Amino acid sequence: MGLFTILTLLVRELTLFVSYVKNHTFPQPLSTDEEDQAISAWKSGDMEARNRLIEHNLRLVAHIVKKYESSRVDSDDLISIGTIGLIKGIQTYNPDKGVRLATYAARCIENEILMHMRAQRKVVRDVSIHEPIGQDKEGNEVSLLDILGTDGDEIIDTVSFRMDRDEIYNGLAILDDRERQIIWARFGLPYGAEKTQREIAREMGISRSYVSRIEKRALEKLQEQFGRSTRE
Amino acid sequence: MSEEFRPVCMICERECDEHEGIKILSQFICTDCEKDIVNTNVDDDLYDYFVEKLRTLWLDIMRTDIDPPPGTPYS
Repeated sequence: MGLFTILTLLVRELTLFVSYVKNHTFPQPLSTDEEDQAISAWKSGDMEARNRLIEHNLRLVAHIVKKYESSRVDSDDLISIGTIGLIKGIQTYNPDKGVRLATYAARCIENEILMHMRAQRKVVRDVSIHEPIGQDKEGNEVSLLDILGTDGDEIIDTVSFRMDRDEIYNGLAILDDRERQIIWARFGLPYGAEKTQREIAREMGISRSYVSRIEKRALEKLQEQFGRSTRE
Repeated sequence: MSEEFRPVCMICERECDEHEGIKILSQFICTDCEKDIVNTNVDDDLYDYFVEKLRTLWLDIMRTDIDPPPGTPYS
């Protein structure tokens, strides 16, 4: 599929979505009274009211996403990211602060999109090995190329890598079987074939979200273990 | 004896015993995943997974738009 075709499909998808928002079947915004009632019901623990607040503010996501449709992020990703922002916004909304829910939620949606775009910029930024990264003692410019490993450095790196590796293998003993299995697969131990959380989930017959939680817990255990061994 | 309806979470795809998650239109997000979504940073690996899963919600909406159910004022 050519780049132009992909671009056309993305534009078409967003256009369809926006046309849906204009359609009357999409949840209409709540009136001020309805919104106030839903907010107070939700704050008293009525989860249905919370769901209603999310649904009836979905069109806010669409309007804000439109503003960023020319950015580098896929339009359908922007819609998902905006929805996450909306969920966070509804969760953290405090009516006592005197700000209208729509105003607060709009800020959260926009903030979520901007945070994501900022994180993406960090990842995609290309770095040239000729790019100056600082100066040496004499004030000469030093580039990445200047500090890339010489033969001597490589030996030290290899030894240090082996020591770290042995320490990690010893540390893995504190994990239970399932945690160890996930960490081995995620980090491609011992031969470097890394697997995604989804692949592991499929192999183990559990959900991806569950794999992620187990991995997080295992990493916390390891972090604690290595922190302890460094202090000792 | 009729079996009780158990909603399937659109994020972790599990059938859930509890109904107390987020219900948006025809989709459901369980409370565990809801907590994960709210507490996950944009630079986390898991965040991309949530973004991908949430696409279902919007594709679902758009499909409904293209082909409205017969008998509605929009068909």
